[in-house]
Amino acid sequence: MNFFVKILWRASWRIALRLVTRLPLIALLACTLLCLAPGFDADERRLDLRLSSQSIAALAKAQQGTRNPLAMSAGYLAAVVHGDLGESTTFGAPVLELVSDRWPATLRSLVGGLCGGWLLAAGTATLVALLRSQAMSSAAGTMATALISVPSALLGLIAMLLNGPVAGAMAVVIFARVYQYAGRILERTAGAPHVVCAVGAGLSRWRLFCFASVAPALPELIAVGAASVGMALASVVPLEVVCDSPGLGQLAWKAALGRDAPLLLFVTLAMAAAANLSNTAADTAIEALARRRT
Amino acid sequence: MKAVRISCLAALLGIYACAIGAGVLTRGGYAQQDREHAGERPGAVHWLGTDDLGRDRLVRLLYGARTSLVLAPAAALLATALATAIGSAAALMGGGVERAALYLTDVVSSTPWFFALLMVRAVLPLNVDPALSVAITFAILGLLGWPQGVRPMAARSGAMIHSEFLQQARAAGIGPMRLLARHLAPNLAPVAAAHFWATLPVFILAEANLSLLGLGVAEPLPSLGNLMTEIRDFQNVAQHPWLLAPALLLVAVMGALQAISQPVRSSYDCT
Repeated sequence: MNFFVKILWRASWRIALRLVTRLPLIALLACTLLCLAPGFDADERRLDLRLSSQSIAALAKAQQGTRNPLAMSAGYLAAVVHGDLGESTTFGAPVLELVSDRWPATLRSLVGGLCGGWLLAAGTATLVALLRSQAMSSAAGTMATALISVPSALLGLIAMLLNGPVAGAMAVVIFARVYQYAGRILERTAGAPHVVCAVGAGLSRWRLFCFASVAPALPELIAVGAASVGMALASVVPLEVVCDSPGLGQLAWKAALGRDAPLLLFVTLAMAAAANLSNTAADTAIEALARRRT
Repeated sequence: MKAVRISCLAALLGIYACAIGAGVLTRGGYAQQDREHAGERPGAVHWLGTDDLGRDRLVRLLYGARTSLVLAPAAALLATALATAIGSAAALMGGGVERAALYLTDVVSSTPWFFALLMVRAVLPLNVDPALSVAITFAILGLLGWPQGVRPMAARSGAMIHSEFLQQARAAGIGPMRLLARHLAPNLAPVAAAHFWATLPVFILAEANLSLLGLGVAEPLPSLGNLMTEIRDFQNVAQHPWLLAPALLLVAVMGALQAISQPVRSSYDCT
Protein backbone atom coordinates (compact mmCIF):
# COMPACT_ATOMS: atom_id res chain seq x y z
CA MET A 1 0.00 0.00 0.00
CA ASN A 2 2.85 2.31 0.97
CA PHE A 3 4.41 1.64 -2.45
CA PHE A 4 1.29 2.78 -4.33
CA VAL A 5 0.87 5.90 -2.16
CA LYS A 6 4.49 6.78 -2.95
CA ILE A 7 3.88 6.30 -6.67
CA LEU A 8 0.75 8.45 -6.55
CA TRP A 9 2.63 11.23 -4.76
CA ARG A 10 5.49 11.02 -7.22
CA ALA A 11 3.11 11.06 -10.20
CA SER A 12 1.19 14.05 -8.82
CA TRP A 13 4.39 16.03 -8.27
CA ARG A 14 5.76 15.16 -11.68
CA ILE A 15 2.51 16.06 -13.42
CA ALA A 16 2.31 19.40 -11.59
CA LEU A 17 5.97 20.17 -12.32
CA ARG A 18 5.69 19.18 -15.96
CA LEU A 19 2.55 21.25 -16.50
CA VAL A 20 4.09 24.29 -14.81
CA THR A 21 7.27 24.06 -16.89
CA ARG A 22 5.82 22.96 -20.21
CA LEU A 23 2.55 24.85 -20.57
CA PRO A 24 4.22 28.30 -20.72
CA LEU A 25 6.54 26.95 -23.43
CA ILE A 26 3.60 25.47 -25.35
CA ALA A 27 1.76 28.79 -25.00
CA LEU A 28 4.84 30.58 -26.35
CA LEU A 29 5.05 28.14 -29.29
CA ALA A 30 1.35 28.55 -30.03
CA CYS A 31 1.62 32.35 -29.89
CA THR A 32 4.70 32.21 -32.15
CA LEU A 33 2.74 30.14 -34.69
CA LEU A 34 -0.13 32.64 -34.52
CA CYS A 35 2.14 35.67 -34.85
CA LEU A 36 4.18 34.20 -37.71
CA ALA A 37 1.09 33.19 -39.70
CA PRO A 38 0.77 35.41 -42.78
CA GLY A 39 -2.81 36.42 -41.99
CA PHE A 40 -2.32 37.17 -38.30
CA ASP A 41 -3.33 40.81 -38.63
CA ALA A 42 -6.20 40.07 -41.03
CA ASP A 43 -9.61 40.98 -39.72
CA GLU A 44 -12.87 40.18 -41.49
CA ARG A 45 -14.13 43.62 -40.58
CA ARG A 46 -11.50 45.08 -42.91
CA LEU A 47 -13.42 43.62 -45.87
CA ASP A 48 -16.53 45.57 -44.84
CA LEU A 49 -17.16 48.03 -47.68
CA ARG A 50 -19.10 50.32 -45.33
CA LEU A 51 -15.94 51.15 -43.34
CA SER A 52 -13.86 54.16 -44.29
CA SER A 53 -10.15 53.89 -45.09
CA GLN A 54 -9.35 55.54 -41.73
CA SER A 55 -11.36 52.89 -39.85
CA ILE A 56 -9.64 50.08 -41.78
CA ALA A 57 -6.23 51.63 -41.05
CA ALA A 58 -7.14 51.89 -37.35
CA LEU A 59 -8.15 48.19 -37.30
CA ALA A 60 -4.87 47.20 -38.95
CA LYS A 61 -2.89 49.29 -36.46
CA ALA A 62 -4.72 47.75 -33.50
CA GLN A 63 -3.86 44.24 -34.73
CA GLN A 64 -0.18 45.03 -35.39
CA GLY A 65 0.45 46.10 -31.79
CA THR A 66 0.12 42.53 -30.50
CA ARG A 67 2.47 40.79 -33.00
CA ASN A 68 5.04 39.85 -30.37
CA PRO A 69 4.89 36.17 -29.31
CA LEU A 70 6.66 36.74 -25.98
CA ALA A 71 4.43 39.63 -24.95
CA MET A 72 1.35 37.84 -26.26
CA SER A 73 2.03 34.58 -24.40
CA ALA A 74 3.09 36.35 -21.20
CA GLY A 75 -0.03 38.51 -21.25
CA TYR A 76 -2.22 35.51 -21.98
CA LEU A 77 -0.72 33.36 -19.21
CA ALA A 78 -0.93 36.22 -16.70
CA ALA A 79 -4.62 36.60 -17.52
CA VAL A 80 -5.16 32.82 -17.24
CA VAL A 81 -3.51 32.78 -13.80
CA HIS A 82 -6.01 35.44 -12.73
CA GLY A 83 -8.87 33.30 -14.03
CA ASP A 84 -9.48 35.36 -17.17
CA LEU A 85 -9.38 33.07 -20.21
CA GLY A 86 -10.50 35.86 -22.52
CA GLU A 87 -13.64 36.30 -24.55
CA SER A 88 -14.52 34.40 -27.70
CA THR A 89 -14.88 36.69 -30.70
CA THR A 90 -17.01 34.10 -32.53
CA PHE A 91 -19.54 33.41 -29.78
CA GLY A 92 -19.27 36.70 -27.90
CA ALA A 93 -19.09 34.78 -24.62
CA PRO A 94 -16.35 34.13 -22.03
CA VAL A 95 -14.08 31.24 -23.07
CA LEU A 96 -14.40 29.62 -19.62
CA GLU A 97 -18.19 29.46 -19.98
CA LEU A 98 -18.00 27.91 -23.46
CA VAL A 99 -15.41 25.34 -22.40
CA SER A 100 -17.20 24.33 -19.20
CA ASP A 101 -20.38 23.67 -21.21
CA ARG A 102 -18.62 21.43 -23.69
CA TRP A 103 -15.84 19.50 -21.97
CA PRO A 104 -18.12 16.72 -20.59
CA ALA A 105 -19.11 15.64 -24.13
CA THR A 106 -15.46 15.43 -25.19
CA LEU A 107 -14.47 13.58 -22.02
CA ARG A 108 -17.25 11.03 -22.62
CA SER A 109 -16.10 10.47 -26.20
CA LEU A 110 -12.46 10.19 -25.14
CA VAL A 111 -13.09 7.74 -22.29
CA GLY A 112 -15.52 5.65 -24.34
CA GLY A 113 -13.28 5.69 -27.42
CA LEU A 114 -10.10 4.83 -25.54
CA CYS A 115 -11.73 2.05 -23.49
CA GLY A 116 -13.52 0.60 -26.53
CA GLY A 117 -10.46 0.84 -28.77
CA TRP A 118 -8.16 -0.74 -26.20
CA LEU A 119 -10.66 -3.53 -25.45
CA LEU A 120 -10.91 -4.35 -29.15
CA ALA A 121 -7.16 -4.15 -29.74
CA ALA A 122 -6.21 -6.05 -26.59
CA GLY A 123 -8.84 -8.72 -27.27
CA THR A 124 -7.69 -9.23 -30.85
CA ALA A 125 -3.99 -9.18 -29.90
CA THR A 126 -4.63 -11.71 -27.10
CA LEU A 127 -6.47 -14.05 -29.45
CA VAL A 128 -3.75 -13.78 -32.08
CA ALA A 129 -0.98 -14.37 -29.52
CA LEU A 130 -2.75 -17.28 -27.82
CA LEU A 131 -3.87 -19.11 -30.95
CA ARG A 132 -0.66 -18.33 -32.86
CA SER A 133 -2.56 -18.65 -36.11
CA GLN A 134 -0.88 -17.05 -39.12
CA ALA A 135 -4.23 -16.61 -40.89
CA MET A 136 -5.76 -14.82 -37.92
CA SER A 137 -2.70 -12.62 -37.49
CA SER A 138 -2.81 -11.64 -41.19
CA ALA A 139 -6.57 -10.99 -41.07
CA ALA A 140 -6.29 -8.78 -37.96
CA GLY A 141 -3.28 -6.95 -39.41
CA THR A 142 -5.06 -6.35 -42.72
CA MET A 143 -8.16 -5.07 -40.93
CA ALA A 144 -6.08 -2.67 -38.82
CA THR A 145 -4.20 -1.46 -41.92
CA ALA A 146 -7.46 -0.95 -43.81
CA LEU A 147 -8.96 1.04 -40.92
CA ILE A 148 -5.80 3.15 -40.55
CA SER A 149 -6.13 4.06 -44.23
CA VAL A 150 -9.50 5.74 -43.68
CA PRO A 151 -9.52 9.36 -42.47
CA SER A 152 -11.08 9.81 -39.01
CA ALA A 153 -13.69 12.16 -40.47
CA LEU A 154 -14.85 9.44 -42.86
CA LEU A 155 -15.08 6.93 -40.00
CA GLY A 156 -17.16 9.52 -38.15
CA LEU A 157 -19.49 9.78 -41.16
CA ILE A 158 -19.89 6.00 -41.25
CA ALA A 159 -20.64 5.99 -37.49
CA MET A 160 -23.25 8.69 -38.05
CA LEU A 161 -24.80 6.72 -40.91
CA LEU A 162 -25.11 3.72 -38.58
CA ASN A 163 -26.48 5.94 -35.78
CA GLY A 164 -23.39 5.11 -33.70
CA PRO A 165 -21.89 7.39 -31.05
CA VAL A 166 -18.70 9.47 -31.49
CA ALA A 167 -17.04 7.14 -28.96
CA GLY A 168 -17.73 4.19 -31.29
CA ALA A 169 -15.96 5.87 -34.21
CA MET A 170 -13.11 6.88 -31.91
CA ALA A 171 -12.83 3.29 -30.66
CA VAL A 172 -12.31 2.15 -34.26
CA VAL A 173 -9.65 4.86 -34.80
CA ILE A 174 -7.85 3.80 -31.59
CA PHE A 175 -8.21 0.06 -32.30
CA ALA A 176 -6.49 0.34 -35.67
CA ARG A 177 -3.55 2.32 -34.34
CA VAL A 178 -3.12 0.51 -31.01
CA TYR A 179 -3.36 -2.95 -32.60
CA GLN A 180 -0.51 -2.15 -34.97
CA TYR A 181 1.82 -1.55 -32.00
CA ALA A 182 0.38 -3.67 -29.17
CA GLY A 183 -0.28 -6.64 -31.46
CA ARG A 184 3.30 -6.63 -32.73
CA ILE A 185 4.69 -6.34 -29.17
CA LEU A 186 2.56 -9.22 -27.85
CA GLU A 187 3.26 -11.39 -30.88
CA ARG A 188 6.99 -10.86 -30.31
CA THR A 189 6.92 -11.70 -26.59
CA ALA A 190 4.58 -14.67 -27.12
CA GLY A 191 6.91 -16.03 -29.81
CA ALA A 192 10.08 -15.71 -27.68
CA PRO A 193 12.09 -18.99 -27.59
CA HIS A 194 11.65 -19.54 -23.83
CA VAL A 195 7.85 -19.10 -24.12
CA VAL A 196 7.64 -21.51 -27.06
CA CYS A 197 9.73 -24.02 -25.06
CA ALA A 198 7.43 -23.66 -22.06
CA VAL A 199 4.35 -24.20 -24.27
CA GLY A 200 6.02 -27.33 -25.63
CA ALA A 201 6.66 -28.50 -22.09
CA GLY A 202 2.92 -28.38 -21.49
CA LEU A 203 2.53 -25.26 -19.32
CA SER A 204 -0.82 -23.48 -19.47
CA ARG A 205 -0.93 -21.13 -22.48
CA TRP A 206 -3.08 -18.62 -20.66
CA ARG A 207 -0.77 -18.53 -17.64
CA LEU A 208 2.26 -18.18 -19.91
CA PHE A 209 0.57 -15.40 -21.83
CA CYS A 210 -0.11 -13.43 -18.63
CA PHE A 211 3.26 -13.91 -16.94
CA ALA A 212 5.71 -14.45 -19.81
CA SER A 213 4.18 -12.36 -22.58
CA VAL A 214 2.16 -9.49 -21.10
CA ALA A 215 4.24 -8.86 -17.96
CA PRO A 216 7.58 -8.24 -19.76
CA ALA A 217 5.80 -6.11 -22.36
CA LEU A 218 4.01 -3.92 -19.79
CA PRO A 219 6.36 -0.90 -20.07
CA GLU A 220 5.94 -0.84 -23.85
CA LEU A 221 2.18 -1.30 -23.58
CA ILE A 222 1.96 1.57 -21.09
CA ALA A 223 3.91 3.75 -23.54
CA VAL A 224 1.47 2.79 -26.31
CA GLY A 225 -1.35 3.67 -23.89
CA ALA A 226 0.05 7.18 -23.43
CA ALA A 227 0.50 7.55 -27.19
CA SER A 228 -3.09 6.43 -27.77
CA VAL A 229 -4.34 9.40 -25.72
CA GLY A 230 -2.57 11.70 -28.19
CA MET A 231 -4.15 9.77 -31.09
CA ALA A 232 -7.59 10.13 -29.51
CA LEU A 233 -7.09 13.87 -28.98
CA ALA A 234 -6.07 14.28 -32.63
CA SER A 235 -9.26 12.56 -33.80
CA VAL A 236 -11.55 14.59 -31.54
CA VAL A 237 -11.94 17.49 -33.99
CA PRO A 238 -12.91 15.61 -37.19
CA LEU A 239 -15.16 13.15 -35.32
CA GLU A 240 -17.05 15.77 -33.33
CA VAL A 241 -17.48 17.98 -36.37
CA VAL A 242 -18.90 15.33 -38.70
CA CYS A 243 -21.00 13.70 -35.95
CA ASP A 244 -22.26 17.12 -34.78
CA SER A 245 -21.25 16.41 -31.18
CA PRO A 246 -21.08 19.58 -29.05
CA GLY A 247 -17.61 19.05 -27.57
CA LEU A 248 -14.29 20.86 -27.46
CA GLY A 249 -13.27 19.55 -30.89
CA GLN A 250 -16.31 21.09 -32.54
CA LEU A 251 -15.69 24.29 -30.56
CA ALA A 252 -12.08 24.41 -31.83
CA TRP A 253 -13.31 23.93 -35.41
CA LYS A 254 -15.86 26.73 -35.10
CA ALA A 255 -13.18 28.92 -33.54
CA ALA A 256 -10.85 28.13 -36.47
CA LEU A 257 -13.53 29.04 -38.99
CA GLY A 258 -14.25 32.26 -37.08
CA ARG A 259 -10.53 33.14 -36.63
CA ASP A 260 -11.11 33.13 -32.88
CA ALA A 261 -7.55 33.13 -31.47
CA PRO A 262 -8.34 33.30 -27.68
CA LEU A 263 -10.67 30.30 -27.86
CA LEU A 264 -8.31 28.26 -30.08
CA LEU A 265 -5.36 29.07 -27.84
CA PHE A 266 -7.15 27.86 -24.75
CA VAL A 267 -8.47 24.65 -26.34
CA THR A 268 -4.96 23.88 -27.68
CA LEU A 269 -3.45 24.45 -24.22
CA ALA A 270 -6.13 22.27 -22.58
CA MET A 271 -5.46 19.45 -25.05
CA ALA A 272 -1.68 19.82 -24.56
CA ALA A 273 -2.22 19.62 -20.78
CA ALA A 274 -4.23 16.40 -21.24
CA ALA A 275 -1.51 14.89 -23.45
CA ASN A 276 1.23 15.87 -20.98
CA LEU A 277 -0.78 14.45 -18.10
CA SER A 278 -1.09 11.06 -19.76
CA ASN A 279 2.59 11.04 -20.82
CA THR A 280 3.79 11.87 -17.30
CA ALA A 281 1.52 9.28 -15.72
CA ALA A 282 2.89 6.68 -18.15
CA ASP A 283 6.51 7.68 -17.45
CA THR A 284 5.92 7.35 -13.69
CA ALA A 285 4.22 3.97 -14.09
CA ILE A 286 7.09 2.66 -16.26
CA GLU A 287 9.67 3.86 -13.73
CA ALA A 288 7.72 2.31 -10.85
CA LEU A 289 7.57 -1.00 -12.72
CA ALA A 290 11.32 -0.93 -13.37
CA ARG A 291 12.00 -0.14 -9.71
CA ARG A 292 9.72 -2.93 -8.50
CA ARG A 293 11.48 -5.43 -10.76
CA THR A 294 14.93 -4.49 -9.53
CA MET B 1 3.95 -10.90 -48.64
CA LYS B 2 6.58 -9.77 -51.13
CA ALA B 3 4.11 -10.30 -53.99
CA VAL B 4 1.53 -8.14 -52.19
CA ARG B 5 4.10 -5.38 -51.73
CA ILE B 6 5.15 -5.54 -55.39
CA SER B 7 1.55 -5.34 -56.60
CA CYS B 8 0.89 -2.44 -54.19
CA LEU B 9 3.97 -0.66 -55.54
CA ALA B 10 2.82 -1.22 -59.13
CA ALA B 11 -0.67 0.11 -58.30
CA LEU B 12 0.78 3.14 -56.51
CA LEU B 13 3.10 3.91 -59.41
CA GLY B 14 0.13 3.65 -61.77
CA ILE B 15 -1.88 6.09 -59.66
CA TYR B 16 1.09 8.46 -59.46
CA ALA B 17 1.60 8.29 -63.23
CA CYS B 18 -2.08 9.10 -63.86
CA ALA B 19 -2.04 11.91 -61.27
CA ILE B 20 1.15 13.53 -62.54
CA GLY B 21 0.09 13.12 -66.16
CA ALA B 22 -3.41 14.51 -65.48
CA GLY B 23 -2.75 17.43 -67.83
CA VAL B 24 -1.88 15.07 -70.69
CA LEU B 25 -4.53 12.42 -70.00
CA THR B 26 -7.46 14.81 -69.75
CA ARG B 27 -8.95 17.52 -71.89
CA GLY B 28 -9.42 20.86 -70.14
CA GLY B 29 -8.38 21.77 -66.62
CA TYR B 30 -9.91 20.91 -63.26
CA ALA B 31 -11.92 24.15 -63.27
CA GLN B 32 -13.34 23.81 -66.80
CA GLN B 33 -17.12 23.83 -66.76
CA ASP B 34 -19.54 22.08 -69.08
CA ARG B 35 -22.65 23.99 -68.03
CA GLU B 36 -24.96 22.09 -70.34
CA HIS B 37 -24.12 18.85 -68.54
CA ALA B 38 -24.01 19.98 -64.90
CA GLY B 39 -24.80 17.32 -62.28
CA GLU B 40 -24.71 14.55 -64.89
CA ARG B 41 -24.43 10.83 -64.12
CA PRO B 42 -21.39 8.82 -65.33
CA GLY B 43 -21.43 8.29 -69.07
CA ALA B 44 -19.29 7.88 -72.15
CA VAL B 45 -18.07 11.49 -72.12
CA HIS B 46 -17.77 12.06 -68.39
CA TRP B 47 -16.76 8.69 -66.89
CA LEU B 48 -17.47 9.74 -63.32
CA GLY B 49 -20.15 12.29 -64.17
CA THR B 50 -20.01 16.03 -63.49
CA ASP B 51 -20.53 18.10 -60.36
CA ASP B 52 -23.15 20.81 -59.86
CA LEU B 53 -20.93 23.33 -61.64
CA GLY B 54 -20.48 21.03 -64.64
CA ARG B 55 -16.87 20.12 -63.86
CA ASP B 56 -15.75 16.61 -64.83
CA ARG B 57 -15.35 14.52 -61.66
CA LEU B 58 -12.67 12.23 -63.12
CA VAL B 59 -10.54 15.18 -64.21
CA ARG B 60 -10.89 16.72 -60.76
CA LEU B 61 -10.07 13.39 -59.14
CA LEU B 62 -6.83 13.09 -61.14
CA TYR B 63 -5.82 16.67 -60.39
CA GLY B 64 -6.85 16.20 -56.73
CA ALA B 65 -4.70 13.09 -56.49
CA ARG B 66 -1.83 15.08 -57.95
CA THR B 67 -2.23 17.78 -55.30
CA SER B 68 -2.31 15.31 -52.40
CA LEU B 69 0.20 12.76 -53.67
CA VAL B 70 2.86 15.21 -54.79
CA LEU B 71 2.69 17.73 -51.97
CA ALA B 72 2.39 15.23 -49.09
CA PRO B 73 5.79 13.64 -49.94
CA ALA B 74 7.24 17.15 -50.19
CA ALA B 75 5.93 17.93 -46.69
CA ALA B 76 7.24 14.58 -45.40
CA LEU B 77 10.65 15.41 -46.93
CA LEU B 78 10.64 18.77 -45.16
CA ALA B 79 9.75 17.13 -41.81
CA THR B 80 12.45 14.48 -42.32
CA ALA B 81 15.07 17.09 -43.23
CA LEU B 82 14.21 19.09 -40.11
CA ALA B 83 14.30 15.98 -37.89
CA THR B 84 17.67 14.95 -39.39
CA ALA B 85 19.17 18.42 -39.01
CA ILE B 86 17.97 18.92 -35.42
CA GLY B 87 18.70 15.35 -34.28
CA SER B 88 22.18 15.13 -35.77
CA ALA B 89 23.13 18.67 -34.73
CA ALA B 90 22.01 17.93 -31.16
CA ALA B 91 24.06 14.72 -31.07
CA LEU B 92 27.12 16.39 -32.63
CA MET B 93 27.08 19.27 -30.14
CA GLY B 94 26.16 17.09 -27.15
CA GLY B 95 25.92 18.30 -23.54
CA GLY B 96 23.52 21.13 -22.75
CA VAL B 97 22.62 21.78 -26.39
CA GLU B 98 21.55 18.17 -26.86
CA ARG B 99 19.50 18.20 -23.64
CA ALA B 100 17.87 21.52 -24.59
CA ALA B 101 17.07 20.30 -28.12
CA LEU B 102 15.57 17.05 -26.87
CA TYR B 103 13.55 18.89 -24.20
CA LEU B 104 12.18 21.26 -26.83
CA THR B 105 11.38 18.26 -29.01
CA ASP B 106 9.45 16.65 -26.15
CA VAL B 107 7.51 19.87 -25.57
CA VAL B 108 6.59 20.23 -29.25
CA SER B 109 5.67 16.56 -29.62
CA SER B 110 3.40 16.74 -26.55
CA THR B 111 1.33 19.44 -28.26
CA PRO B 112 -1.60 17.94 -30.17
CA TRP B 113 -0.49 18.93 -33.63
CA PHE B 114 -3.98 18.87 -35.18
CA PHE B 115 -4.95 21.76 -32.90
CA ALA B 116 -1.74 23.61 -33.77
CA LEU B 117 -2.60 23.03 -37.42
CA LEU B 118 -6.12 24.39 -36.90
CA MET B 119 -4.68 27.42 -35.18
CA VAL B 120 -2.36 28.33 -38.04
CA ARG B 121 -4.99 27.59 -40.67
CA ALA B 122 -7.39 29.87 -38.81
CA VAL B 123 -5.15 32.90 -39.19
CA LEU B 124 -4.34 32.63 -42.89
CA PRO B 125 -5.06 35.74 -44.97
CA LEU B 126 -8.73 36.17 -45.91
CA ASN B 127 -8.13 36.51 -49.65
CA VAL B 128 -5.47 33.83 -49.96
CA ASP B 129 -4.90 32.32 -53.40
CA PRO B 130 -5.92 28.59 -53.60
CA ALA B 131 -2.43 27.60 -54.82
CA LEU B 132 -0.86 29.48 -51.92
CA SER B 133 -3.35 27.96 -49.47
CA VAL B 134 -2.38 24.44 -50.54
CA ALA B 135 1.32 25.29 -50.29
CA ILE B 136 0.82 26.76 -46.81
CA THR B 137 -1.24 23.75 -45.66
CA PHE B 138 1.47 21.27 -46.62
CA ALA B 139 4.28 23.54 -45.41
CA ILE B 140 2.63 23.68 -41.98
CA LEU B 141 2.33 19.89 -41.99
CA GLY B 142 6.05 19.65 -42.77
CA LEU B 143 6.99 22.21 -40.14
CA LEU B 144 4.95 20.45 -37.43
CA GLY B 145 5.89 16.86 -38.30
CA TRP B 146 9.56 16.81 -37.29
CA PRO B 147 9.54 16.04 -33.51
CA GLN B 148 8.85 12.30 -33.76
CA GLY B 149 12.02 11.76 -35.78
CA VAL B 150 14.45 13.74 -33.65
CA ARG B 151 15.11 11.22 -30.85
CA PRO B 152 15.88 8.22 -33.14
CA MET B 153 18.02 10.51 -35.29
CA ALA B 154 19.94 11.85 -32.28
CA ALA B 155 20.42 8.32 -30.92
CA ARG B 156 21.73 7.05 -34.26
CA SER B 157 23.99 10.09 -34.73
CA GLY B 158 25.30 9.70 -31.15
CA ALA B 159 26.17 6.06 -31.82
CA MET B 160 27.83 7.01 -35.11
CA ILE B 161 29.97 9.77 -33.62
CA HIS B 162 31.59 7.35 -31.19
CA SER B 163 32.02 4.61 -33.80
CA GLU B 164 35.51 3.46 -34.72
CA PHE B 165 35.27 4.20 -38.44
CA LEU B 166 34.28 7.82 -37.80
CA GLN B 167 37.05 8.31 -35.25
CA GLN B 168 39.50 6.86 -37.74
CA ALA B 169 38.24 9.21 -40.44
CA ARG B 170 38.61 12.13 -38.05
CA ALA B 171 42.14 11.05 -37.15
CA ALA B 172 42.95 10.87 -40.87
CA GLY B 173 42.20 14.59 -41.06
CA ILE B 174 38.85 14.58 -42.84
CA GLY B 175 37.05 17.91 -42.31
CA PRO B 176 33.69 18.14 -40.47
CA MET B 177 31.63 18.93 -43.59
CA ARG B 178 33.07 16.02 -45.55
CA LEU B 179 32.65 13.82 -42.48
CA LEU B 180 29.01 14.81 -42.29
CA ALA B 181 28.31 14.43 -46.00
CA ARG B 182 30.32 11.29 -46.81
CA HIS B 183 30.23 9.29 -43.59
CA LEU B 184 27.44 10.40 -41.24
CA ALA B 185 24.64 11.18 -43.72
CA PRO B 186 24.66 7.79 -45.53
CA ASN B 187 24.43 6.01 -42.18
CA LEU B 188 21.50 8.18 -41.13
CA ALA B 189 19.64 7.50 -44.37
CA PRO B 190 17.78 4.37 -43.14
CA VAL B 191 16.39 6.22 -40.10
CA ALA B 192 15.49 9.21 -42.28
CA ALA B 193 13.77 6.92 -44.78
CA ALA B 194 11.77 5.29 -42.01
CA HIS B 195 10.66 8.68 -40.68
CA PHE B 196 9.68 9.74 -44.19
CA TRP B 197 7.57 6.62 -44.73
CA ALA B 198 5.99 6.95 -41.29
CA THR B 199 4.96 10.59 -41.80
CA LEU B 200 3.82 10.39 -45.43
CA PRO B 201 0.49 8.55 -44.78
CA VAL B 202 -0.12 10.74 -41.73
CA PHE B 203 0.17 13.89 -43.85
CA ILE B 204 -2.12 12.56 -46.59
CA LEU B 205 -4.74 11.74 -43.95
CA ALA B 206 -4.25 15.09 -42.18
CA GLU B 207 -4.88 16.96 -45.42
CA ALA B 208 -7.96 14.85 -46.08
CA ASN B 209 -9.32 15.50 -42.58
CA LEU B 210 -8.60 19.24 -42.78
CA SER B 211 -10.17 19.57 -46.22
CA LEU B 212 -13.23 17.57 -45.15
CA LEU B 213 -13.66 20.15 -42.38
CA GLY B 214 -13.33 23.03 -44.87
CA LEU B 215 -9.92 24.13 -43.55
CA GLY B 216 -7.60 22.50 -46.07
CA VAL B 217 -7.13 23.06 -49.76
CA ALA B 218 -9.43 25.82 -51.02
CA GLU B 219 -11.75 25.58 -54.03
CA PRO B 220 -11.49 25.52 -57.02
CA LEU B 221 -8.20 23.62 -56.56
CA PRO B 222 -9.10 19.95 -55.98
CA SER B 223 -7.47 17.59 -53.46
CA LEU B 224 -8.47 14.11 -52.30
CA GLY B 225 -9.74 15.72 -49.08
CA ASN B 226 -11.92 18.48 -50.49
CA LEU B 227 -13.35 16.17 -53.18
CA MET B 228 -14.76 14.05 -50.34
CA THR B 229 -16.84 16.89 -48.91
CA GLU B 230 -19.74 15.77 -51.14
CA ILE B 231 -19.89 12.51 -49.15
CA ARG B 232 -21.13 14.44 -46.11
CA ASP B 233 -24.59 14.35 -47.66
CA PHE B 234 -25.51 10.66 -47.11
CA GLN B 235 -28.71 10.62 -49.15
CA ASN B 236 -26.79 12.01 -52.08
CA VAL B 237 -24.24 9.18 -51.75
CA ALA B 238 -26.94 6.49 -51.74
CA GLN B 239 -28.27 7.84 -55.05
CA HIS B 240 -24.87 8.70 -56.52
CA PRO B 241 -22.41 6.02 -55.34
CA TRP B 242 -19.70 7.29 -57.71
CA LEU B 243 -19.22 10.16 -55.23
CA LEU B 244 -17.26 7.61 -53.19
CA ALA B 245 -14.50 7.50 -55.83
CA PRO B 246 -12.16 9.99 -54.04
CA ALA B 247 -12.59 8.10 -50.73
CA LEU B 248 -11.88 4.75 -52.41
CA LEU B 249 -8.82 6.15 -54.16
CA LEU B 250 -7.54 7.59 -50.86
CA VAL B 251 -8.04 4.28 -49.05
CA ALA B 252 -6.31 2.41 -51.90
CA VAL B 253 -3.35 4.79 -51.85
CA MET B 254 -3.08 4.63 -48.07
CA GLY B 255 -3.33 0.83 -48.04
CA ALA B 256 -0.63 0.56 -50.70
CA LEU B 257 1.61 2.99 -48.82
CA GLN B 258 1.15 1.04 -45.56
CA ALA B 259 2.01 -2.24 -47.26
CA ILE B 260 5.07 -0.86 -49.05
CA SER B 261 6.47 0.97 -46.04
CA GLN B 262 5.90 -1.86 -43.52
CA PRO B 263 9.48 -3.30 -43.64
CA VAL B 264 11.07 0.17 -43.43
CA ARG B 265 8.84 1.21 -40.52
CA SER B 266 9.55 -2.05 -38.69
CA SER B 267 13.27 -1.31 -38.82
CA TYR B 268 12.47 2.15 -37.40
CA ASP B 269 10.73 0.57 -34.38
CA CYS B 270 13.90 -1.34 -33.56
CA THR B 271 16.20 1.71 -33.64
